[in-house]
Amino acid sequence: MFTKAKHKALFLGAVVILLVLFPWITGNPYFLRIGISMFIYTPLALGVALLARSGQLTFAQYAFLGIGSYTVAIITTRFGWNWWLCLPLAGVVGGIMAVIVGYPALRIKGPYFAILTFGVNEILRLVITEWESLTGGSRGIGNIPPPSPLGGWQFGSMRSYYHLGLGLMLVSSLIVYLVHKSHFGLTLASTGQADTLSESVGVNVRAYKLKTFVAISVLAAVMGGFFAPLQQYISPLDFQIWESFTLVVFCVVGGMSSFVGPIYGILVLTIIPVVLQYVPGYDPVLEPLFYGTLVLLIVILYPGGIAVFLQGLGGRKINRT
Amino acid sequence: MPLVEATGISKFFGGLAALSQVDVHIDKGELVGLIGPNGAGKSTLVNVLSGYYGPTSGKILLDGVDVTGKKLHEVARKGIVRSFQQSFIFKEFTVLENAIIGHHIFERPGFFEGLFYTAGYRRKETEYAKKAEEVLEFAGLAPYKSEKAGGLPYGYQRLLGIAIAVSADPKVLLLDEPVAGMNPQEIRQTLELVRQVRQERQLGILLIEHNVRAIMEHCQRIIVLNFGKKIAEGTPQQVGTDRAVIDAYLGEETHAS
Repeated sequence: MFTKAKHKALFLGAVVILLVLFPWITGNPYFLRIGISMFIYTPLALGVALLARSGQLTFAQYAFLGIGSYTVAIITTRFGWNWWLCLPLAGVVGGIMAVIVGYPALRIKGPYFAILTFGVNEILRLVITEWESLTGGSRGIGNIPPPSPLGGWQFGSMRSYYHLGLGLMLVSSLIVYLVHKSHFGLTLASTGQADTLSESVGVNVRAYKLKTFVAISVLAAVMGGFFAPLQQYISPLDFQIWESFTLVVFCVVGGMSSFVGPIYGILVLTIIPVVLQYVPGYDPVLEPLFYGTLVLLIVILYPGGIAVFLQGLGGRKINRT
Repeated sequence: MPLVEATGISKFFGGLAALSQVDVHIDKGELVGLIGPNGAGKSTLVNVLSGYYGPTSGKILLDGVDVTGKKLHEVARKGIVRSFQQSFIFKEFTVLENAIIGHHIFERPGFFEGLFYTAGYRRKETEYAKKAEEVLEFAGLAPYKSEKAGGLPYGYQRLLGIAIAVSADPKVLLLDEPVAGMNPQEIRQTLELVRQVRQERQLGILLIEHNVRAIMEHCQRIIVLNFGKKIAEGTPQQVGTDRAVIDAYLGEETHAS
């Protein structure tokens, strides 16, 4: 959309300022909660898109969200730890699980890998459900305390979660962006375009995929650590396969050829159902119809997603994948 | 001591012997031709030498070091790089980016490097771009450096594929039908690149080609495979008059690629 770097930076700055001020523009906790949902979706979907550059599509992001959530939930409710210490711990646990899962899984490519990640999600759900002594099983964990006050900030209100979520979203999105733009990101993309060619010039393809998989899983787990006190009560039902699937839909609808693509997907697919509620005579039962029709239209008319559509409007050539 | 010494290479796929007790050696600065009818095992041999396949039996020594069974990227780091006939460039990248990836062994970007956008990191990036440009100059592709690789004419795409392999600064280059599908101008540019690189860096090069005349003209030594076995080896003179070689090609359509 914007070609000059300075214009881009200004636009971004304006958006961030607007986002920060949003709770004072409308104090409606319902809207704030929707915003928070988008803050959670963003680094998760950006992670899916990043790994997709290597040709691996993951449906396991919500599993790692769940790992992070349960880590924080268990440690704050059972051991009374300070949430701020639990958050990095959630990331560490997520990272370890990502290595255990990723090391064998990333040897497999294409649709088989995607199916395998479905399995990961399900296995995790089952483990959580069965390991009652640790996780409370299908009853879940409740009374998760909000983050303890930090530097004068109190947490517990929807507005405080909104800003905390915004901060986490900005930091994790920045990390994914830096990886995407870096030399590491270029090399990762080479493995997705022509993996044997890439390997033939010395690229350790598996290592690149594994490092990326661990990174995005750690970010997902950290967001999970935020998700737990936000929800106050979590159970295996919060981390179903459908949610991971939704992330992929965001990426497909928004487009993965540019970094911001998934964000367009999140915006469109989150805001439309909300807007539709204000249309007179609209029955929420129709929501899947609109959702599905939009996805179908995008896939048929603009397989590259909204990002490609916008770039076409600007008349710019699509450069790097 | 030869640069590459492969002895007793056999490769079985189930019961099928794609290669059977093949011995190959390549000396520094040597251009060795590899010919044989379709299905003779030429590409399989290149796959084994480069580490894409592990041999069922046999040993591969590079500069006296055993590289048998090492994976593709490990063998590349040790110094054996191959070119490809399919998927030979990164189509979505610019020509320059293609050459930068080719130089990967000397770059090895870490995950965290790019996160902390230090001055040292930016210096490295400029250096890599410069090195990549040098290879493109060598190959005659510098004018196209900012273009998307997939947009180049086919012959130049193949040339870029070879430039990528050259970027990896190998000791040994395995070229799989490098000039197939090229027009005479592109063939000339490619052979010139290969000749220059071989002269300046004293690479050992193994060249698979169906264009027998080109092989005869440029190679010092030729190895002939048929049905996975080596049936002849020698100078173009010797191989051209070898009974077994002529028999192998009789009944085969001799096509000039």
